[in-house]
Amino acid sequence: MTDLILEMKSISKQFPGVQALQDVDFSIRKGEIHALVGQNGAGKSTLLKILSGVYHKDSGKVTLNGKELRRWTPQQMIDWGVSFIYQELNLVQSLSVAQNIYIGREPKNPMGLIDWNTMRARAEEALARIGVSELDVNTHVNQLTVAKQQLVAIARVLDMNPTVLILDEPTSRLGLEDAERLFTILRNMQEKGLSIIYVTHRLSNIYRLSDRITVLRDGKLIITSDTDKLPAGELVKHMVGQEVVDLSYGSKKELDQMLLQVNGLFGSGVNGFDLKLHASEVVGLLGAVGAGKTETVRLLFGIDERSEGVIQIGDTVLENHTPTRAISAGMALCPEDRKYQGLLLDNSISENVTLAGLEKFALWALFPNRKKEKSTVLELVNRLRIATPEITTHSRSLSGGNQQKVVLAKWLCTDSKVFLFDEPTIGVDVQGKAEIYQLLHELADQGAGVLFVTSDIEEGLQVCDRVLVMYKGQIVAKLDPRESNKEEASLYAMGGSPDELH
Amino acid sequence: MNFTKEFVQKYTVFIILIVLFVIFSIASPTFMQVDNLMNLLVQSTILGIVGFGLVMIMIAGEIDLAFAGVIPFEGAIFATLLTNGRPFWVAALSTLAIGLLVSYVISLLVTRLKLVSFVSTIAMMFLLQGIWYAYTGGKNIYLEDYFNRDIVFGLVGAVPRVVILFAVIFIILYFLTEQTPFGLRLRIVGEDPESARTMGLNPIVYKTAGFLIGGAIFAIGAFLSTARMSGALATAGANMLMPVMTAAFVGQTVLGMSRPNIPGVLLAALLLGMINNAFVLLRLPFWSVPIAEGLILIIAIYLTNINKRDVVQISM
Repeated sequence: MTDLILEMKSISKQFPGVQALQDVDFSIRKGEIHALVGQNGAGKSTLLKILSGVYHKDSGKVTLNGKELRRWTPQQMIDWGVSFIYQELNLVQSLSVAQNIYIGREPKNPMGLIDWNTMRARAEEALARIGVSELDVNTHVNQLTVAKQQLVAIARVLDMNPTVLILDEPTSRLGLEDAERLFTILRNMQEKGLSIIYVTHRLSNIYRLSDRITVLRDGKLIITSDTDKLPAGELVKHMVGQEVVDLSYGSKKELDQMLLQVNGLFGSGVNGFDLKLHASEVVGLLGAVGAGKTETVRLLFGIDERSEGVIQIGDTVLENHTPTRAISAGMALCPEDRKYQGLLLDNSISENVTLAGLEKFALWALFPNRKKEKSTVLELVNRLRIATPEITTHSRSLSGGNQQKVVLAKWLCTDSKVFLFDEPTIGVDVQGKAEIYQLLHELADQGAGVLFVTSDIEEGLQVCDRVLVMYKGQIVAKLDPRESNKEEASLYAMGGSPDELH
Repeated sequence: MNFTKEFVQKYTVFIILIVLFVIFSIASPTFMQVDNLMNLLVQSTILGIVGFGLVMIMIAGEIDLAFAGVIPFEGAIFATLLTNGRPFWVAALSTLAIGLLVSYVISLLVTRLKLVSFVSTIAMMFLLQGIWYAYTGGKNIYLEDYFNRDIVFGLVGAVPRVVILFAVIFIILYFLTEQTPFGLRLRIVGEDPESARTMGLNPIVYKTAGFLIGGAIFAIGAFLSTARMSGALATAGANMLMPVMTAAFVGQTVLGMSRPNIPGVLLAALLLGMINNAFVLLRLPFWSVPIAEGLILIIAIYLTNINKRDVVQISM
């Protein structure tokens, strides 16, 4: 008991209409990595926001280092040694690496002005402490990959010498190697006595890293257990509350009607990409982060200009390619970053859903047919099981999985035949993922062609009818998921060849 | 190609400034005379100082157009107090106090009631212009007998005092915004309030500070414009609205910063002041000045956006 650093006891929190947390106990020991898991809406974020001081608890007791806390602000919590790294990282994009590490703690010279040299030198030290030497601290953060940005965020937080570090979904946008690197850093920190709370949806991460697991569901504590005493199957059962069958979704398909044909596509980050996508199939495009998957999708949809190559939908060859033309030719895109590209967060579900297929619901896009709009949206909300009280609810207030479904519903309103999904399951919980997989196949069964882009190799193999593996802007392997396995696909994704397996 | 683009983007305002300077000095023999150059500086001064105030608020991610109402209103208070025989320092401090009060009210509207600053400060501008008419009965208040213009426009050597004031304010604000922790944080709050909050900075505090500093600088602008016209005039603010906004936006392009900044306003104010000055000397028709200003604003906004791929991105 003495080694408990932080203890939260019977925490409850009510929001209008929702009991977000009910009598939740949560504690962390010195030097442990504690996984906090649960589906979207289980109460993980609420619990962490109470801890960080963004929300205030309705009742319960919080003890930090043996002292009971009454009411605190985010800044106080940081000062007491409890630091957070959120999924969005929250770095200021237009500032340099060094500035981001020292915002709020800027080194000053005797005149009260910022001492830029000291700031740069200390930033380099802070990065070196987590084993990062390749970053120029003068680089603006917006020039860095997500993985590098995350290293900056970690360097920033660790430089404040926290006793507890909380990470929210840290690997959701990282490739294999970057995730490995992160794990190594976290283990090193653990050895130095840092306690880590690790929030994630990825089972493999939980078992690779954590010492203990706490599962929340519907705002209640389900179980806290040592990791080695809680097998994966049981863990998922606790999270979902019912048995989920782990099934493979893909199957061998008859390929007759060609929907999308791409030959010799070149462009920024893409060096010769070929694709044949047929009706009724789900094709996976796998690869590590940075392999050129998103770039390919952007070229296919006409967002970026290709330098070479032919894109053909049905019999139509797309010249002067723009997103508008892609849409009218029957293409639909659910982009990687739904918050910025796929969804109008401050508009209602209904407005988002009817946006792309507006002509269907309004004569000349001017005179809306509200009744038709409402019935269609309601039908889609039910069909996709979007969890929302009203169709007029703002998209911002939905969970990640439900936001993704709204983007999907938008395209279901159009007459699209070719669907491009770029990382649709990022930040989505187990059950939400299963629903999205099912929807992809429903689309295919209705005659659409689906291109499913993911950096989660396991997921790609599980979901798709056939998969293409991309590395450095090129397809390096075409695999049948039923005859391949994760090791083989991962190897291709890292630029290796199958001989190395033996 | 990329290099040229970057170069052009960074130095356009400098280049325009130098090219026009050369053209003007060739075209008009009087342009290069010390008297005229000083006159040019004086003309840029008020524009530049009020522009500084606006940019302090823009750095915090907000905008305050109420200065077009605040400046005549503060001028009227200042003039009334002087004509009623109050000492100079009482009038000056009262003006400053009124300015801070108005800015504080605006900051409450924006940070507490979460109103959009663009719209709510336009509302505040109308409100104050109305109050000006009610307060003065619609008459300009002249100060010839009460106020010695030399306090502001007297020379130190060859340099008018107001130009020295301009330089001092510039240096203070430059260091404040670009070299101090406060300036860096103000910018972070303006650019990314969400991240600022998670880094433990309170956006409300910094935004309020931005409005108050801006308000204090507007009060200095009100004092200078009253001194320049020897009285509180109804048109004092409205005439300034567009040129000041132009200076603030053109200033964003300087050095390719693509963000509101103090040195940029200085250069932009000099540029606009020079155009005004030279076009008069060259006897160009009066309508050519707004045309030139309009063109420069368009070029500036284009250059601010040159590297951004999105269709339009004007941040207020």
